[in-house]
Formats: sequence, structure tokens, C-alpha cells
Amino acid sequence: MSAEPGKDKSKVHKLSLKGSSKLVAEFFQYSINTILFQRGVYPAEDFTAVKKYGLTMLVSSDDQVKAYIKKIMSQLDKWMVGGKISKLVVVITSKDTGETVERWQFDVQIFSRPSKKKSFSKTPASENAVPPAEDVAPEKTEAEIQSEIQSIFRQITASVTFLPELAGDCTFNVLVYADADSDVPMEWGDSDAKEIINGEKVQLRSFSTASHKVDTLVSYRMDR
Amino acid sequence: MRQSPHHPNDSARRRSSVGQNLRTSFGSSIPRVQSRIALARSTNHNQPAFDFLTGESVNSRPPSRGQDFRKSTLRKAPSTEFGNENRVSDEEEEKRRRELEELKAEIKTLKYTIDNHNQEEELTKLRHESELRDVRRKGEEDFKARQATEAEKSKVARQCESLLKEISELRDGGSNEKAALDRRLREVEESKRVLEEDVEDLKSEQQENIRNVERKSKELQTRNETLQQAVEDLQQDSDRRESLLLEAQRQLAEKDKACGNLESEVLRLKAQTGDLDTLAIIKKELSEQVTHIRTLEAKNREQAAELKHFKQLHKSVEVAEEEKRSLQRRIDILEGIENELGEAKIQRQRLEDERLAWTAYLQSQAGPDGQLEFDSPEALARALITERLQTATSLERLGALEAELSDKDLQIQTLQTGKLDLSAEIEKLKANGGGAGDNKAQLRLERQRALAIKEAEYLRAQLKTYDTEDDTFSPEAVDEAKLKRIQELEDMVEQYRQEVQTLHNDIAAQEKAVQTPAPAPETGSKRPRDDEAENERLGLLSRKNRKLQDELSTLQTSQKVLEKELSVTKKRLTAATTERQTRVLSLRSNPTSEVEAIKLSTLTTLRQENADLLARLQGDSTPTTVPASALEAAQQSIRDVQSELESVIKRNDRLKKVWGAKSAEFRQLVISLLGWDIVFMRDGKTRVTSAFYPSKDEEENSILFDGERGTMKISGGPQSAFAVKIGDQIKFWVKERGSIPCLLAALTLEFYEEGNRDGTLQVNV
Repeated sequence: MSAEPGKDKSKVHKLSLKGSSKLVAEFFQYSINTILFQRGVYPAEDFTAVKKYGLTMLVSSDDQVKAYIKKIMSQLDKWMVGGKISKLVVVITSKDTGETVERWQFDVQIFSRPSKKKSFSKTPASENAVPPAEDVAPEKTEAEIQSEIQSIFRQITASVTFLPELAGDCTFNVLVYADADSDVPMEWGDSDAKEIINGEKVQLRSFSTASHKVDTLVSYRMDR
Repeated sequence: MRQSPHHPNDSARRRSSVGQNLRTSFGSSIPRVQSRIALARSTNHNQPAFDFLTGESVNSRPPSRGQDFRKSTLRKAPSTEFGNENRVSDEEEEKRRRELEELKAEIKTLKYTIDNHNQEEELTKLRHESELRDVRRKGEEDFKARQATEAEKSKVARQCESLLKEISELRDGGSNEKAALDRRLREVEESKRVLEEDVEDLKSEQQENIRNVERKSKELQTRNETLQQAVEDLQQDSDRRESLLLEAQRQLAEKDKACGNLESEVLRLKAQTGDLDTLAIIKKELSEQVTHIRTLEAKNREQAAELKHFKQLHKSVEVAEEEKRSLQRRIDILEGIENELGEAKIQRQRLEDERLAWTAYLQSQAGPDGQLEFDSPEALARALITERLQTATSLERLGALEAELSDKDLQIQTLQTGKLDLSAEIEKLKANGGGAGDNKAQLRLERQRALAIKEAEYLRAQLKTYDTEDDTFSPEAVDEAKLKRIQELEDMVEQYRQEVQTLHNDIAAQEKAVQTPAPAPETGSKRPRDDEAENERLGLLSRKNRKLQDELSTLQTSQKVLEKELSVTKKRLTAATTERQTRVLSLRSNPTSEVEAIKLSTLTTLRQENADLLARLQGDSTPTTVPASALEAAQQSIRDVQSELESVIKRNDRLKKVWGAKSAEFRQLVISLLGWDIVFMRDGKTRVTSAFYPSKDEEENSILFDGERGTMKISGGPQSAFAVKIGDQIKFWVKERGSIPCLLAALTLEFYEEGNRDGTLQVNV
């Protein structure tokens, strides 16, 4: 970090709000696919392997699912750039009972810190001396962000070990917690939060970019 | 007059130029003229003795007669007056001389003009001469030209002669040629005549031919016409015949009809003749039937009207049903709302109960004046918090007070010890002093001391009770009581001190009275006074301090209460804002909703089916058919099955794709590892082709293994080029040693080496 401040800065610029939003949206896309695969919502043959984040990700090749995710993503991109989103939730519902059996929640925090950036760019000469003091919010390189994302995906994959097996056929839905003042197209409608009452909750890792922080939380219904 | 003197100069210049010209053009004849002019000039030069340039007369000639003449004339005139005569004569002389000079000049000019004329004349003469010479020269030239023309003329004449000769020769040749041509012309004319004759012959022949052809064509035409006519005749004939046929047929039909009629008549007649009664019956029945039909028609009309009416009704019923459905939906929604309402009511009831309990409790807690201290649980909670905080602070203060009390105890003890000391001293003094008076005083002192001790004990007891009280009583009322007690205690201490002092005073007085009034009163009287002042000040300060502390503690409690309230309100505020700020959104057409929709539709269809079936079952004793809704349900199940089938097919396809990719990979692996391209065929057969010796277009170089029969075939039969090529290896490896893998390996090696031999490297092992 301290070795090449110039290079660092260019990377920081690259990951501006827009770029960061894109990255987060992409993360959501892959995480939805990964959850669908890992939790067996769709048969394993429906997925094809793709290299991403230095991992082999499995992406659904089912036309309907692809179309649905694409629709969500196109709208999500707009909302992300506008900073309207506070949460994205993947809800897994039992087809037989209609109960919510699992709920993957991604909390999005948007940092608004233009002042920090300014001060950073104003004093590039003293940057080598500054980093220890500014350890609170260090500028991350893309590789660091990627490694954070990687570890989240590893956790999602590993979570299969402790999550209860899903009984029967399941289906899924994606909920978005958006600000009340955001533009909502006709295709989208209000929904209830589909919270799991008295469910177990496990906080997974989080990752952060220059302007976003994403926390991951999975809650699930306990076996009775 | 001024120009004149320049003339000679000019003329001389012109002369020289002319002279030169002449000299150059005329050659030798000119010098003579010049000499003449020179002569003239020399003469001229001799004549004028006037220097042109200076203007002075040279006077080479002596003043001859002119002067003399003038002199004489002049001499005659001035004879009369002698004085002036000399002057006049001089003037006249002068005048004459001037005139003379003028005249001389005139002469000179005249001469000069004459000279000029002469010169011009000469010039013209010279010009004439030169012209003459030119003319002569021209004449000579003309002559020469004439001679030359004459010579040419003779030459031309000679040429003319030769030409004439040539012409005559040519004429002779021409006459000869003409004769020859005439002869040929004649020959040609003769041949032409012959040819014309031929042509005429031919023409006549042709005409004859044409005539023949025309005749033939005419014949053919006539024949054709006759044939056409025949055809027409035949057609007419056939038409006629057809019409005849038709007529005959018609007649036949008529005949048939008539026959039928007749037959029917015959039958009727037969029937008529049979029974007239039946006819009457039939007629009656017929009339009955007619009436019946009429009634039916009337009914029909009525029913049609009714049908129309019913149709309208049906329409309205449909509308009503639609409305009903919408209402049903609304009712469903309302039911949901009712449920919610019920829940809400229950909740409300519970809350109200709670509230009642609270109010009852609060009322029970109400003060004696009947007013509620707290109007809500919130106020109560707030009061509780404040009370708690207050107790906390009062506890703190209690601790402080206890410490203070212990201090006070200590003080009391020290005072007691002091008192004991004093009493001992008094005893001593008594012993020292001795006497009745002393005894009295001593007795009093003793009494006082006992009193003091009693008081001290009393104080201790009070303290103890105070402590117990503190423990038992509620801490609210503690402060004032405590303060009072402390105040009392302090007062008591003061009293005690005062008493002690009075005692001291008494002792001092006694001592004064008994002995010399020396040191005792000093020590006794001075110190207590100081103590008193100090104590008062201290008390004041401590009181103030206590008051301030009280205030501080109350303020602190109130602050804490406020902080608590602030945090509570903040929490509530954030909860409210978050509730209002975010919206939970989802895409309307998500997989979950789709599943729900499918479930709902199946449920409705099944319900419908069930209801219909039940109705059928109850209505008929033996149901043989099923309602349409059952069919619908069945169709839906079929659709489900189909979609499942589709998904299975999809999965199958995907698996096939994966398998294909894997098998291709496997084949590639085998090729790269073993050098044999393996193709798995049906019936357990396997075709193997070497990668080093691939099949070429038509020619297939492969070995076919049949796994079932355990045979090995070589492509193209045992006599093909490939079979012959690998025959030796087969014989060696398969027939003799029975090892196919070795055969394949050996072939690979062989083909590889062959392939390399075709290239540049030659490998011989």
C-alpha cells in the first residue's frame, strides 16, 4: 500500500461509487446463483461452471431463472448507483407449505465520505507517513476486495454443513429493501419482509469497497 | 543678326558631314569637288577680315576711301564751330565706321548664302550622278537577266521537243492497247450473249415450275374445301341426331312419369275402391294432426319468446355472477381484514386489561386527596426511575453521613476522655484543696459528670436507634430526619460543651476562691471559647456544604432521568423513521409467486371438480359421466406431467451434452497418449485408426474390432493395400503371439517412422 501510492490512487478512483455499485450488484448476482446451487433449489445439472473472483462459480443456465435474475439485476444496478438500497434478501420458500425456510440477507451500507477522499488527494506527499494514522478506513485494492468476496463465497459454500437440509421442493424469491423515495417500476410491488420468527441467525463475513459495505446474514427455521 | 556669325560654323559642320558622305559613296570623283569648295573657301577666307568670334574687325585692309570720304565730309561740317567740331566729327566717324562694319557683315552673309546655294547645287548634281549610275547598273542587270531567260527558253524548247516525242510514242502504245481492248470487248459481249440465253432458259423453266406448283396448290385447296364441307355436314348430322336423341329421352321421361302417375292412380283407385271408411278416418286424423301442429307451433312461438327472455336473463345472470365473484373476492379480503380486526380486538382487549390493571394500581396508589399521582404507566416508570436514582444518591449520602457519625463518635469519646481527665484533676484539686466547700462543689461536679455520662449514653442509644431507623425506614424521608437528628446531636454536643465549660468555670471559680487564682482558669476558660467560634463556623460551612451537595445530587438525578428519557425517545424515533423510510420490494413475477399461482389454480380446479362430482353423485344414482371440470383437472395434471417431462428431457439433454464433451475429451486423450483414434460403434464394435496413418478420402485405413465375437477386421478386406501393408505385423504379433496391444504398438512405431521418413529425417535403427 505504501510502496506505490500513485497506483493505489488510480485504483481508488476506479472504484468510485458507480464502479463500486456495479461490483456489489455483480456480487449479488453471483451470490444468488451460489445460494440456489448450494441449497439445491434447482437441480445441479441446471448450473454451469464459470470462473469468477478466482473461484469456480456455478451459474444457473435455466432460461427462466436466468431471465428472472437478469431482470432483478438490471433494476438493482439503477438502484445501487442511486444509493437507494439498504438490503437485499434471498428468501427460500417451501413449495408444499409456502413457509419461509431460509433467508439470506445482505445489508448494504453506503459510505458518504467525500471529505476523506479530498483530504487524501490533497496530501499525496505525506501519504507514506499518514497510513498508520488513517488505519480506520484504509483504501482497499481490488485484489483485497476480491479476496474478501472470495471468503464470503467460501462461507456460503461451507454453510451447507450447518444449515438444516431443505425438505421437499423449494423455490426462491428476491426481496429488496429500498428507500421509500426510490422509483419503483410497475413490475415491482411491495412485499412483506418474510422474516423467520424465532429463527436461528448466523452472521457471515462482510466485504467493503471504497463506498459500500456488505454484511451477510443467514437465518433459518429450526427443526422441531 | 546674332545668328549670322554662327552660320559659317554650322555650314562648315554640314559641309564636312556631306563631304564625308560623298566621299564614302562616290569614291574618287568627290575629291575634285572638295578641292573646288576648298578653293572657294580659301578665297572666302581671304575675303572677310572679321573675326567672328571676337567681333572685332581685323582691319587687314587699311581704312581706304570710306574713311577718307567720311573724313572729308566730316571736316566740312564742323568748320563753323571749332570747339565742338572735333567731338562731332569723332561721333560721325564712329557712326560711319559702325555702318561700314554693318555693311561688311551684310556682304559677308550674302556671300555665305551664295556659297550655300552653290554647295546645294553641287550636292544635287552629285545626287543626279549617283542616280544615273544606279540606273545604268539596273540596265546591266536587266540585260543579264534577259540573257539568262533566253537560255532557259532554249532549254525549255528542247524539253518540249522531247516531250512531244514521248507523247507520240504513248499515242502509238494507246492505239495498240485500244485495239487489244476492242478485241476483248467483243469476246466478252459474245460470252454475255451466251449467258443471257442461258438465263432466259432458266427463267422459262422456273415459270413452268411455278405454274406446276400453283396448279398443285389449287388442287389441294379444292380438296380441302370439299373435306371441310364434308366435316360440317357430318357435324350437322350429328347435332341433329343428338337433338333427336334428347327429344326421345324427354319423351321417354314423360312417358315414364305418365306411367308412374298412371300406376299411382291405379293404386289410389285400387285403395279407393278398397275402403272409403279409412279415408274418412285418415282425414279426421289429418285434421287432428293439423290442429296439433298448430298448437305445437303456438307453443314453439311461446317458447321462443321465453328463450329470448331467458337469454337476456342469462346474460344478466352472468353479469351478476361476475359481480358476485368480485364481491366474493372482496368478501375474502374483508374476511382477512375481519380476522385481522379480531386479532386487533383481542390485542386491544389485552391492552385495555393491562391498562385497567395499571389504572387500578395507580388509583390504589393514589394519594389521600384522591388525585392520581401518575396518569400513565410511562409516568410511573419515569417516577420509578427518578426514585431509584434518588435512592442511589441518598444511599451514597448515607454512607457519607455514617462516616461523619463515626467521626462524631470519635469526638465524643475524646471529649469523654477529656472529661475524665478533668474529673481526675478536680479530684486532685479536691484532694489538694480539701475542705467542706470543696466537697460540695465536688459533689456537684460528680453529679454533673454522671449527668454528662448519662447524656452520652443517651446519645449513643439515640445513634443506634437512628441507625436502625435508617435501615428500616424508606430512604425518602431519611434526609430530613437524619439532618434533624444530626442537628439535635450537634446541639446536644454544644450543650454538653457548654456544660463542660460551665464546669470548668466553676472549677476555676472554686480554685480562685480556694487558692490563688493562678493557671487553671486560663486553660479552662480560653480554649473552649476558641472552640465555640470555630465550631460555629464549621457548622455553618458544613451546613452549606450539605445543602449544596443535596442540590447537586438532586440535579444529578434529574439529569440522569432526562438522559434516560432522551435515549428512550431516540430509540423510538429511529424505529419510527426506519419503518417509514424503507420499503420491501420484490419483482411481481418471481418464482415463489409463480408456484403460489400454480397451487392456487390447481386448488380451484380441484375444488370445482369435487363440487361438480358431488352434485353428480347426489343427483343421479348411477353416474356414468364426469363433469367438464374433471376433464379440466385432468388436463392440468397432464400439463404438469408434460412440464415435468420437459424438465426431464432438458436434464437428459444437458447430461448428453456433458457426456459428449467428456467422451470427446476421452478420445482426444487416447489419441494423444496411444496414437489411435477410437470410434465406438453400435453392436459393441470399435473402429481404430492410427493417428500417424490416417484414412485418405476413399481409402480407409482402420481396423475394426468386434467385442462380442472377438474378431478383427481390416478395412477394405484382406486384399486391400492396408491389409497387405500390415499383413506381416499381423502375422507376427497376432497369429504367432496373439497380442493385439503389441500389434497396435508395433504399427504405431512403424507408421511413425514412415511418416518421419517422408520428411527430412532418415532414421535407421
